[in-house]
Amino acid sequence: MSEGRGLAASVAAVIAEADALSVGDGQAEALAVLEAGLRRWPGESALADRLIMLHLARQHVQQALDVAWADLEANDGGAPRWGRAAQLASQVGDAERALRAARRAVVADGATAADWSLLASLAFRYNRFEESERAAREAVSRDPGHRSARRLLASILMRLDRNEELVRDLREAVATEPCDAALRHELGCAYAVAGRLAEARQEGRAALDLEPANLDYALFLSGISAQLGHAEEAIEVLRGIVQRAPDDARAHYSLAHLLWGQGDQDAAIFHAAQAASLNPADLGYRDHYVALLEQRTAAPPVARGKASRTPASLFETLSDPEGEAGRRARGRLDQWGGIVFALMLREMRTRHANTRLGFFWAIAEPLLHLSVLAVIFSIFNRGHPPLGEDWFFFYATGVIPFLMWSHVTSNGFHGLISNAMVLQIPAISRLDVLLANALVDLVIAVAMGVVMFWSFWLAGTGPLPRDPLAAVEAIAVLWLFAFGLSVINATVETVNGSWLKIWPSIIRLQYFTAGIFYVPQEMPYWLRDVLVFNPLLQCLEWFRTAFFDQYAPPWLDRRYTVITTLVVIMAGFASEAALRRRQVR
Amino acid sequence: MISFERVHKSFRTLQGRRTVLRDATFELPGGRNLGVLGTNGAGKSTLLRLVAGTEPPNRGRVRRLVRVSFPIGFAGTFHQDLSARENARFLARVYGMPPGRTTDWIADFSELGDYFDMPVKTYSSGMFARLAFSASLAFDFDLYLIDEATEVGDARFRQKCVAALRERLTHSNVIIVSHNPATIRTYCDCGAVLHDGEFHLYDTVDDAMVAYERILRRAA
Repeated sequence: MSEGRGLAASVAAVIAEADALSVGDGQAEALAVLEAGLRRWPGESALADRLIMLHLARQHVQQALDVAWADLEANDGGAPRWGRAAQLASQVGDAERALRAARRAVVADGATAADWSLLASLAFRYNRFEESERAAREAVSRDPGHRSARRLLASILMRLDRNEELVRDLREAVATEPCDAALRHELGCAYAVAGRLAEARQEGRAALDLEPANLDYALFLSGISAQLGHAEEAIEVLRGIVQRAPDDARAHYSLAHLLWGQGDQDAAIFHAAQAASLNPADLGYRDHYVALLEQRTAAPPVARGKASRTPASLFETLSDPEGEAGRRARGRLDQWGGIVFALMLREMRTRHANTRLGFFWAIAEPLLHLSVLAVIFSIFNRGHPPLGEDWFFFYATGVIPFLMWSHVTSNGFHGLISNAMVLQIPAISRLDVLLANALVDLVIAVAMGVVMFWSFWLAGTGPLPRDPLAAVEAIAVLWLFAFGLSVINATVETVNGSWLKIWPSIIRLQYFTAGIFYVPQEMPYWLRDVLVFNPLLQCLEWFRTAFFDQYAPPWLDRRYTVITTLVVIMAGFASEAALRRRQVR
Repeated sequence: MISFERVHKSFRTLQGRRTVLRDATFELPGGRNLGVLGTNGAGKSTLLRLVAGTEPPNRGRVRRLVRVSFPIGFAGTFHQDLSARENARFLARVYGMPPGRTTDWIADFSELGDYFDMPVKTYSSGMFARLAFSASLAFDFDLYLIDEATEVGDARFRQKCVAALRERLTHSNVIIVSHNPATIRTYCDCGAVLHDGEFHLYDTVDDAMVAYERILRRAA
């Protein structure tokens, strides 16, 4: 008695020590302590249990099994211990020990349905079907509600091709638990395997009604229904599950299959595409999709193509008042004019969009420019101007056309940049934008000129042009010349992005070489002989002849100027065409 | 309708020269709606610009005998400093339409309210997209060009856009560039695949999709 108590006390001490060690990092030491304890008191179950737990905690199943086995050899442990050993043995794949332990468990005291079920499942796993069936039946007879035993029995019967028996068993089970969806589904499967499809469909329906969101039940029921020729029901079942679980490829795939069989090709292809896109890694779904696409018979056009207008229009269609014929009659030139006009209005509206006075600045800016220039130069020039009576007036005859020329030549490309997006409209070309810009600058220059010369006349400091036609001619030729240069500049700038940094210095140089502040008469003759070939100088001189009727410079060659201008324009268009052809973005 | 004659188009990228079309000759079928499929970077958008004529080919020529739209939903034509009304009026003038009625139509369709007379730069991106889509749909083009995303604003406005576009398509046609088969299926009755400089036309969308699937497989 005293020995027993001393032993137990020591065992308790060992366990306490091992527990204390295993709480920290000392699992290995706890193991050593427990093993030493077992060597001292062989067959002590409490120590063995602790040791098994510790081994399992460290995932050492084999060691746990060895300890358990040694313990069972020393003491007859009863059903729970044998059951545990069987499970450990089956975990490490020791079939012989597992079966032996499980068999001992069911004959030991206190054996339950769970022990029989364990034996059944182990026997089933190791292909001892008769033993397994016997054990499973024993388990079911001890506990009719033991679900895993029932399922095991079903598997065994199915495996052994004893379908009728299986059906009978499952029907009994269903009779006891009619609301178990899994059981009913299994019964349905059993019926299906036995070839009793009508009953299978009934049970499948019952299972799905109990668990409407179960994909497996739905797939089963739709499969059976389809086999029975109830394709509509099958499709309905699948449509329902696709709505509940739209992300499962299987349901879409099955649905596509059934719909195709029903001749609904579009819907089938839709669901096949869904399945393929939900599961892009599965080539099976994609093959199915492609196969359906290839088999589709002459798909009817979805949209109707060119047809008569629908009478009842949701949205009023805007078309020109004259209609199609009128549009043709208006002609290309008219259309093109509309485009350039639209661009001009946009340019005028936006050029000074950030300032409050907008268009006012378009005219005021060159006026200011002219005034400043005139004041500066009138300080240096005394006496009579080379032409007329008034210095201011004389400058104006040079500066106003000159400013138009410089604006047209340099604004064109900036217009292209600020209108880059407009060029994405197919109807608008680069030339349209350049032309619109040039026209805007022409309009501004003419407006400014009219205001200026009218003011001079009102103030009595200058005459109205005696030969207005000459003024118009000169401005027209100068504008054409400037427009040609603008097109060339835009091309050169597009090809070589630094050209527009150089161009302003060329303009500034022209201040002095184009004869603005003095007439070419005052130039050295050797320089004049070269500079008169400048069409800009020619145009300024031409313009002056309109105001000073006694002025007829011998170097003014109108024919030369017009021809040169035409050549420049042609060169501009040619460069634009060449650019269009070889432009690489 | 639109014909490509030995059109060659390539451009330089950081990864070297990329060819969109290699001496391609084909005719886009008249009276049909075409969906163009292609992987990312195949040059679908460039192809649309070639069709529109806003981008010139390196060689060859593109003939078009119809009024081609600017890309639907394309917002770039709007001047930031001008109001939607002024921008709309500009487009109306460009396309030779009565400016008053056109601006009224766009104002009505875009549902921008008082903002219609505010400078476009004050718009939110959603309002901007509404304006862009409305302006594209206002004009009666023979051929509409759509580049991918036509998803605009809230669901209701989007539905309105789809309805309006469908109605336009009863007497006009469309070329859609997309990699969403659903979009193409909605509007198109024939298809094409652009891949590696080759352009292939197919009589049905299905055939094009099959060919496109093959290309995807070969790439995988």
